Amino acid sequence: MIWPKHIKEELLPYWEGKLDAVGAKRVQKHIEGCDRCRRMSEETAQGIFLASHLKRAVTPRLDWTEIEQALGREPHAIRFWTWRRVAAASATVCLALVVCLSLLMRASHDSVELDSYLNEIEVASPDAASPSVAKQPEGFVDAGQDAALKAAGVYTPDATVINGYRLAEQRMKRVGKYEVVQLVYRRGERRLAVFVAPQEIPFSFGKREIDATTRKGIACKEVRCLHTSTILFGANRFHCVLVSKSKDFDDLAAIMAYFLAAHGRTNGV
Amino acid sequence: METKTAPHEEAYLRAEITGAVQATVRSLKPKLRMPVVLRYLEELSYDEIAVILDCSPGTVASRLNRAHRALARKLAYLVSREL
Repeated sequence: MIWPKHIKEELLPYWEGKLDAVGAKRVQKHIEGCDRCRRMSEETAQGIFLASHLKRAVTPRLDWTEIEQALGREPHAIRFWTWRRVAAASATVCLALVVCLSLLMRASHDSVELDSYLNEIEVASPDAASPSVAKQPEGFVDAGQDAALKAAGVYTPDATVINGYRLAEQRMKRVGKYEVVQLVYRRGERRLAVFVAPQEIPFSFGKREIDATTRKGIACKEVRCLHTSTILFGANRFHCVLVSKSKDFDDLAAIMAYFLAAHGRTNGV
Repeated sequence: METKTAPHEEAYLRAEITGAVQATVRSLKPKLRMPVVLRYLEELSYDEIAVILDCSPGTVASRLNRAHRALARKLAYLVSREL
């Protein structure tokens, strides 16, 4: 039988159960009569089966009884001291886990709330060159330039002027044992603020939608705001939020690129 | 007569397959490896993978398809033993 069209592209949705009944039947019928597609179908199914093993964190469900039984010995043969060692090791592991978890939970509770800050900027008139971007967010206090740049991980002389934007104000806020920095840059009437925090501290944006996007080749996340560009980007040890009234992404990308380069440029957000 | 595999033996076999799959995935070209990792380890949708890899969902599906077939061919000996 001559098959007018092979169904290579439909094999994956077929095996993932994403085709409707009619489509699935059509694929099945084609496979039955076409050697080439049947071979590909078998390979696709086997590949899915194999790849699905990746998500199984295989921890063999073994206990000493099973091992002993498999070896044809009695479970009692395991010495008392062996059990004590196992118990001591387990207790140590549990203790370490508790300590790690408590540290992680403590870190995850510490976040920087930017929602009210963005809200105020968002409701400001989009036409007026509102100074709101440069406003002092809650909990932030004025800081010296050197201290702020050092805490922001961009402690180089050129950090004070980026793409024509000059560093005008800098503030800091302590969150747990870390410092979060707000750097306000100005170029004429234009202002933008960059918030920099160590990766351990997440930024909280309330219920705002965040989309993964690319701006001038830089992977970042965009927080949906009405009148501002709010972009989350990150590098090795820091993540940054860039808030601007400008929608000129060439401008913003230059600032982002500067911070990424200063932080080691792995671009993870 | 049906042969029944002991639980520890089954676990061992599964671990062996997982190890072989991990090694084979590592040997794939990045273009094929990334969709597999994002799909099966990170459990992301085609759309999410497309955003991360900056390509279309159709391209993601096509690369996954090629990766599946590469896995099947390279690990055919495991599949015939397991199935």
